[in-house]
Amino acid sequence: MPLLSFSDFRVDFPRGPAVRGIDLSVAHGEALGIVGESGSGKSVTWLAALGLLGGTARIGGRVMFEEHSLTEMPPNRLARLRGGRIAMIFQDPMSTLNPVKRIGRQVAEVLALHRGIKGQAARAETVRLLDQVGIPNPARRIDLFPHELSGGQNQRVAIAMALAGQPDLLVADEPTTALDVTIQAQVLTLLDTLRRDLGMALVLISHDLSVVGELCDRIAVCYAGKIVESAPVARILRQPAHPYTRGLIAAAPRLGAGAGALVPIHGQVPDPWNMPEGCAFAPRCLHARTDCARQPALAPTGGADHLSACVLSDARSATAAHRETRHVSA
Amino acid sequence: MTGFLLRRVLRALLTIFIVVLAAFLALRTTSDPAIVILGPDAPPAAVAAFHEAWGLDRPLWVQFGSYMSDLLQGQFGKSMLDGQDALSKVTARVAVTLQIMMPALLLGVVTGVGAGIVAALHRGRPLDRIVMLGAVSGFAVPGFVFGLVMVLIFAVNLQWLPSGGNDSWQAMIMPILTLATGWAAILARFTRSAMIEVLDQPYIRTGSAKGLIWREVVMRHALPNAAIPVITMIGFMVGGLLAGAVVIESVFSWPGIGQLIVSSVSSRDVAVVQCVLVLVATTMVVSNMIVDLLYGWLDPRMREAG
Ligand SMILES: Nc1ncnc2c1ncn2[C@@H]1O[C@H](COP(=O)(O)OP(=O)(O)OP(=O)(O)O)[C@@H](O)[C@H]1O
Ligand SMILES: [Mg+2]
Repeated sequence: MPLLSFSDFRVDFPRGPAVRGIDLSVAHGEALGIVGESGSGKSVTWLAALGLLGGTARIGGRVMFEEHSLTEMPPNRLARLRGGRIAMIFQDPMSTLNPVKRIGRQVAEVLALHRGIKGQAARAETVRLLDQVGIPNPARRIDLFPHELSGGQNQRVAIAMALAGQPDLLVADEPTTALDVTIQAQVLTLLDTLRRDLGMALVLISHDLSVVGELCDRIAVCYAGKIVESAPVARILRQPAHPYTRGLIAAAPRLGAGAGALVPIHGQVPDPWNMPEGCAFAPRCLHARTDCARQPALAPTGGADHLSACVLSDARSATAAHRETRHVSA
Repeated sequence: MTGFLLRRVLRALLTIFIVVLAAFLALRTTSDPAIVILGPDAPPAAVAAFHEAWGLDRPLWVQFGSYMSDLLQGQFGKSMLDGQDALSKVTARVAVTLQIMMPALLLGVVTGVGAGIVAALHRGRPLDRIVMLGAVSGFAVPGFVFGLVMVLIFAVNLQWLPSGGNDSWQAMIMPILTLATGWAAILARFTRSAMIEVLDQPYIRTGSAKGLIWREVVMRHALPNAAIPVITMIGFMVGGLLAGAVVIESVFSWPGIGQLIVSSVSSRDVAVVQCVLVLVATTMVVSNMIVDLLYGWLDPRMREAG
């Protein structure tokens, strides 16, 4: 049984659908990368699944966490699952911590909530966690406020807070986007090490395919509220089946044809209130054909673990199309 | 920190000095206390005697100098009207004013802040609309209009409550309600927007992501942050308490400091007016200082600044 799985998961805002039927699962201990451009629905998918969206969103379909249905769980029970078995960290570390509380207290709050550790024991465990995420001198830093630490250190505190509940699944939503390049690498390495040491599953959301490529076992590509392709990392980077994935690879600094040959994808992700019929990528796709007006299903392409939602995605036409892309961009 | 305090105290003293000087000049140059107190038909001899008795025949700057030197020794002088010590006359009236101000402040803060929080937590929903409708109308209608309407209804028509004075506890009801309504209206709107701003911050979502249920997120993470601007606002209200007494006490003829200042200004009873002004200015300045200190205490980001 997978640790967590979405089936036909949907999120609708009053303005339109943001997530339009996602089928995806995460195995125990797996590192899954979710990539896609800004606005493709990566964050909304996970926020909605964990009950963090609130407000005007309407949720459809199902999310199972082992044998628990997150979508049917009463809000207060779902709340207690968060921070415990499922933890999540976010993009901007400077604003994800409460500015008027000492960082140690913010970490200890999770210890009290999920592990019943209080007082001196909580303080000791907090120091250990801060040490584990690489905060130098944790016994002294424990009483600082978030504004007294750098962005990278705050993100480490946020990671310590996530680890405090000993999660089976850590969802990291662009955890390094707001950080300097050198700090980015450090934080990513930390996440990777922690995942291996603690045996938890990691979902790494990013718009940077190269980041995800280095850390993850498997990648799911998200476009306009759907998964358009998913496969093991090596496979998807070497033999991408979906034109959108190929576009992302061609546009990625460290993965593309080489320095100076980055190929941007033209156009933008369609807005939720303005979804094209059929394949949502068709208006931007170099290989669009008349049958793209029909929504292609996510189906195996050259292997059971390689899924793609494209009319061209049998292996031969994919390679042909791939060559064509190179040709057009040259 | 001590340098900061010292600078604040010096600035406060300067503010009070300017208030005293301005009031002194305004009261002395607009009309003659002797004429006002003795009457326009008073014989010139009596006026001269009055002038001499109170030192009004000396040059203005000499009068101000001696007034200031008395003030520095804690002497506020005597009332020209009845020769009573100005300070004790004023403090007696302050006590009367506080009888309505304190309960009104408490009521205004509790209902205003409470309503603001409730509105923010129900943003965009009917409860929010109702609270905001109440707050906006409470804010738009001036206190004296609201007070007069209450007098018309409850004192004149229904005759349930006395229209003024301070002879019974019933007389306190309308002035307290009038004051509290105004403050609650301001605080409700202010608290609501402070709270809404905080609820939109990413650290609120972090609170939920930690496993806290919504009520715990609000109590532990939203309220402490929203409290910072709200407490500041309340501090400024406390500073303006005595100054705000004039209107409300006129409407309900409540014999507190507001009434005293009106009567002593019209009789040019300089010592009493000055005493009231020093007191009002001091409460404002001191409460502003306390607000600043409180701010640093509530918001760790402000601690090094300032
Ligand atoms: N609270 C909300 N109310 C209405 N629409 C929303 C809300 N949150 C997100 N959306 C919309 O849902 C769509 C998907 O947004 P989402 O934040 O999931 O994108 P993303 O893939 O995470 O992008 P990014 O890389 O910028 O984080 C966008 O069109 C966005 O405008
Ligand atoms: Mg996002």
